[in-house]
Amino acid sequence: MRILMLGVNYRTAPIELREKISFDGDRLDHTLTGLCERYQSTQIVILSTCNRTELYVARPDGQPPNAAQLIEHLAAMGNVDAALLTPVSIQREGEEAVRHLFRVAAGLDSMVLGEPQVLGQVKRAYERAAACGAAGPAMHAMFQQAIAAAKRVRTQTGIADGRVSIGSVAADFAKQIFDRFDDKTIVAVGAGEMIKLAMRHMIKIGPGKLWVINRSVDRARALVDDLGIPAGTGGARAFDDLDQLLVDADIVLTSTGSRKPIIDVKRFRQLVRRRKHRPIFIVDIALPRDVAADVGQLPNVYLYDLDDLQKVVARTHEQRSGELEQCEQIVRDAVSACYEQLQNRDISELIRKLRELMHDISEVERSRTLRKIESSDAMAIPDAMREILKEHNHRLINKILHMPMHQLNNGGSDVPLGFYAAALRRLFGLDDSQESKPSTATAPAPPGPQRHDPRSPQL
Amino acid sequence: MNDPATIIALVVITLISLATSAEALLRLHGSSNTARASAWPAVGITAAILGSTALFCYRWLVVNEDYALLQAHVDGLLLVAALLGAMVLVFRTRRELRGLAAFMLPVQTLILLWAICAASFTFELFAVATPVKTLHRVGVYLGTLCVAVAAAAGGLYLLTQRRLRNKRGVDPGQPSNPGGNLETVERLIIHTATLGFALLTVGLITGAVIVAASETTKLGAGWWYSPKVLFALAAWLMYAIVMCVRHTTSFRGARAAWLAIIGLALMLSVFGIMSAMPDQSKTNTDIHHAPNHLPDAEDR
Repeated sequence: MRILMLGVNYRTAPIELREKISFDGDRLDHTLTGLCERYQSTQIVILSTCNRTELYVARPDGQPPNAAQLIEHLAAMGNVDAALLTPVSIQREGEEAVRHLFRVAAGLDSMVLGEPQVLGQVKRAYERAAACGAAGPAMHAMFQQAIAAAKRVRTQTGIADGRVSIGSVAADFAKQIFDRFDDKTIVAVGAGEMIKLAMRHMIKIGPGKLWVINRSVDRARALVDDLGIPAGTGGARAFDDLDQLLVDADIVLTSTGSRKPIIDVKRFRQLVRRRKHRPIFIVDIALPRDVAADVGQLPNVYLYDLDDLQKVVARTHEQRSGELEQCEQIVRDAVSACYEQLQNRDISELIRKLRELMHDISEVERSRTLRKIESSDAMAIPDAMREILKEHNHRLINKILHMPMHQLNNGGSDVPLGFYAAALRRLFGLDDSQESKPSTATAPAPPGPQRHDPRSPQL
Repeated sequence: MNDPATIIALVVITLISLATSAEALLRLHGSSNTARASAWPAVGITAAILGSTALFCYRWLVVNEDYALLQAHVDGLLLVAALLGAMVLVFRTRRELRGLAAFMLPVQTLILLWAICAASFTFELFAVATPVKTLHRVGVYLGTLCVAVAAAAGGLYLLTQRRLRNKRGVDPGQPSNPGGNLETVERLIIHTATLGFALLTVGLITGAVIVAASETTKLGAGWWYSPKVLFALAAWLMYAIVMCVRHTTSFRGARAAWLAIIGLALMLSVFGIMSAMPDQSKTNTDIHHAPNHLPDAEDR
């Protein structure tokens, strides 16, 4: 089988193109089913996330689909021009394709190094393909081992430690101040992109109330709708309500375009008594800052600005980069083991086919010889003689094949299995696609030059 | 002088507790190499608990001839140390309270050191047990246990708060991060202070009853304004305030934590004063003193 990976990712294609060829739900099932019906002996898994759409294909040697056909299929599904897709697509074959999958699953190819979501997405992609019957033995082996290797990478290294976004770091700090959040109120001051991103993380901790306050109430409402905040648990408020919301709030996220601090120590000190000295966590992600630094000196006020949060993010990146070599080593070892296993599987299949080919040839030649003897002597050959001849051929083939088979099966790790497999295919015309054996052939057909791709290993 | 086996066992248990405390403090400081999961602290704590409990039972069933619990100050301190260790083990199972070990284990070590002193230098038997006196001792020792936990939680609160305000050592996932949250720790302070307050109230009332009923006491004639009684009242008042933290606006957070720590300091002062106070009576009606004419008092 040949392993092929083709796709686009955040490095090669803009989001406008990626979103057109992304697959989810029924569309994914439909695509998988369509590809399987069209290319029947092909195994396919489609990994589609917000950062990448990649097709992993294991197909018999010399059979479709090739990369160009896959690109055409993708283009047709996304209703985009194939000429647009070709220059931004990436292709990997053989061991490189396996390595790519392993790196993706471990989060080493992610936009945020070591991010955990991609492993779940790889798992779901594989399960989906398996459920549709699109994943065969090669894909099972590849994906199961990629998932296992990714888990090893996550548990044996520090690649998954720490937080990498401002919002998640803020949520983690909030968890060091508060135990539960269903009785807490979060107030977002501003309705810009930064607030939106940070609020997405804050929503995950399950606050009791969530208010968005902005000078333009319409923009605040738009953000509330965008975040999907239910009516009973918060909403948009006018900027005049800021003082009251600061009294009610347990967590404040602020990012406005104001040139001067909108919360200064004088203003906040007046609210402390009304707040009954409850702790408050203020996350100021505005530049220039919205909250005066001396507000953080007040009792039970925990004020964090952009720098404080970014320091944590930077430390996480630094720490994760330091783990990269160890992760790559785990992936390298796992890829080697997986690819060797796939090659062995391929070699076993080739050996079986070679043996069948030899026996088919010997059977044809035996029949011809028997016919010649019968026609020249005009006498029937006894069954015992036929059996002796058959056994002779059988033993002859076994003796001829014994040494090369032994080398292939027990040659050790230094044997270039990929080379041998390619040589066997080429010399004996063994094609994965040959469904019917050459029962009438007298000799193996000469291999066509179109089957050989010197740049890629024959797997 | 107490029996040598008690003192030797106490020294061994104290050393184990000291090593465990040092490890917990190093971990909190971030300089321990065993920042990730390590079995040693749990083994050390368990050994200290088992040792304290075994010694407590040994003294109860073997040394104390009439099989009475809490016959001497050392017994009470052993009980407190064992229970404190057990609470550390329980708190270690909760991520948000795991950092308490670094504060509770040193307290346990101090209590055990005190037990060594109480067993070797200031050893004296308690007076004959009566229900009121037993209630007084149980109230005082278990109350002390609760206030020790409250004070340890206060320490953790102040450390976490300081780190959060200084923005140092609070990175999520950092080994030195105690891993707790202020709200949980504050709740623990209030709960343990409330329980301690109830037990100390029992101890205070029964103590007053015992002293008032006796003709002469170690505290002297004006016992009601003696340092012991005044410190005990001050400690009691501290916990009364901490208890009300939820309902008052000005004693939240760090102030509650400080009050819990000051409360423990006052409680320890009460014990210290009692140990250092010159004896003014030699009657068997005293709370903390056995009659000198007991023939085997010195042998225990």
